[in-house]
Amino acid sequence: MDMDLKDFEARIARGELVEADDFMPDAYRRQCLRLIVTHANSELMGALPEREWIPRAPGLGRKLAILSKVQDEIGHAQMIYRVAEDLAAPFGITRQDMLDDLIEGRAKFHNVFSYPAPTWADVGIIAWLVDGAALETQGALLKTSYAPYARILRRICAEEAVHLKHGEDIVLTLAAGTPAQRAMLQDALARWWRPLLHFFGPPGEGTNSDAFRWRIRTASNEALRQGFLRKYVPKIQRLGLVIPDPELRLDEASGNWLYGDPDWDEFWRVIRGGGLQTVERLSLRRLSRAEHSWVVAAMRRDSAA
Amino acid sequence: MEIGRGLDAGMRAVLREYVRTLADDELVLGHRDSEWCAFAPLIEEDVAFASIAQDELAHAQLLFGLVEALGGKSPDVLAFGRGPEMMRNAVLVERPNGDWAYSVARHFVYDLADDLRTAQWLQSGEGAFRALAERIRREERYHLEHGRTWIQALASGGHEAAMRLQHALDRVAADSFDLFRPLAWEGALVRAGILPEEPSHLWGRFVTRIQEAVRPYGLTFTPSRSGPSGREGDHTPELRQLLDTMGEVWRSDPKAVW
Repeated sequence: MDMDLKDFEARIARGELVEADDFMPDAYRRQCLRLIVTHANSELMGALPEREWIPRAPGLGRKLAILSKVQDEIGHAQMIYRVAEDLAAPFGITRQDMLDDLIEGRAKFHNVFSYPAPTWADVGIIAWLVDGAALETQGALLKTSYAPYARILRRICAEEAVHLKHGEDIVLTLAAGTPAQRAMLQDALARWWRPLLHFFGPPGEGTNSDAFRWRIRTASNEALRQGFLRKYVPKIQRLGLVIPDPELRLDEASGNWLYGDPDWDEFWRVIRGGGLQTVERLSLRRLSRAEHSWVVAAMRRDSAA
Repeated sequence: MEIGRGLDAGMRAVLREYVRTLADDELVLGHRDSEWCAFAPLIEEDVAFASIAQDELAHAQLLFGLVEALGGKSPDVLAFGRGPEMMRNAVLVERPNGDWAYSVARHFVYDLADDLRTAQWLQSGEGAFRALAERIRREERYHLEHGRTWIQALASGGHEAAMRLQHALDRVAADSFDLFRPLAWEGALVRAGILPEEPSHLWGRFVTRIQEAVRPYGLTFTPSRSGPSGREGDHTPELRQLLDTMGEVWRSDPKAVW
């Protein structure tokens, strides 16, 4: 092992944080970059299912709230792409390259944003449970060794907590509503349950990989999933909703929730771009890029003038 | 917010009509603005237009609240429960977003109109209008600044951008008279001390301000007085589509809590 790498790993082992200008091994830089770009892509793609409901939100208060939430998600994407830009600069990769990769279907983003959101209840479930799942992951990443990412995550987590309230409020309102509203909510939960289990990735990955040794990540997929289940299963059950998994039960000895096989083949298919709405949502971004190439060209000319 | 104290029923009805007109403008434009979210040319503009949309929709909510205080229906019923024939917004704000140049030009022209009409409120005998003017004008300053930046960027951004912008201004000009169309009840608002002068009297100043704003970039603004009268309920089919979309969930059960 060369001296630089040894020093770097010693720094990490002492609990020190890595700043953008510090020395870091290329492999560390690449791993951070992959994680951070996937997060940025997910924030951007995550805005799309809810965006579809901005025009249809029922009530001025709801319309304002969902607009503000989608704006936050896109704002998060913007902030995270900036962190990624700094990391990517030595590789000669720009933000435009990252966006192009996403739009052309070459980049990864979270599986959940590939599913349709056919009713208003889906908006509530997304804002409450998908954002709840995201907060679980992002909360664990606050301890990441890459300091610029940790700083941005602190702000993002604070905003996500507000989104959770917004989602919970929609869910509680529907749960206390008419029979049709409750049925809509139950259907939405049934649609999202499996994608939510998939959200954290497959179990069984080791925590002895570089990503853990370098403290880029600090919690395993299964630990995050269990954290989510511990928080939300009781809340969902208290609302009288049925979780569509007959095998779901609490193992008293370990404190873990046991769940039925969520079909990991489906997870891999979606991650590789086979999600129901992946093509449609990416084509929206592609259409935006194609329609606005003249605007981007105009801005370049204006700022060059 | 308290409004219309000491006014008789007829005058309260006039005031409702006036406020509803403004609220409808803000509601429909706010909805159009929100359609840009996640489709704008830049991520920064997704965020900026979402912010502007929230301002306009929040203004609509406040104004509908005044309508309610004057004896009208609740803000959500007013926003989600009316058909196009009941809407009083200017046709300008219901036009589909079109290209980026059209959206930028329309917003800039609308914001200047809004600036002139909210400036009237500063001299209103109604405390509610003076209070609203403070808030709305603070936010509108940012909208105007945003619009100016884009007018300049597109005007100086090469042939295609400048052509698109001029074409957009032509289309906006053709619809803009609706914003200051003389309406039967205007005089009563002036006589009651609610407005310092009839809003339609602002038309000349409005046109001059836009022309002065765009002239440095070699652009023109040539309004016509024809065009459909949204203020009198004459709307395009696109408004019906917009309202049907906006009301899709709410109207599925207007009695339910959403």
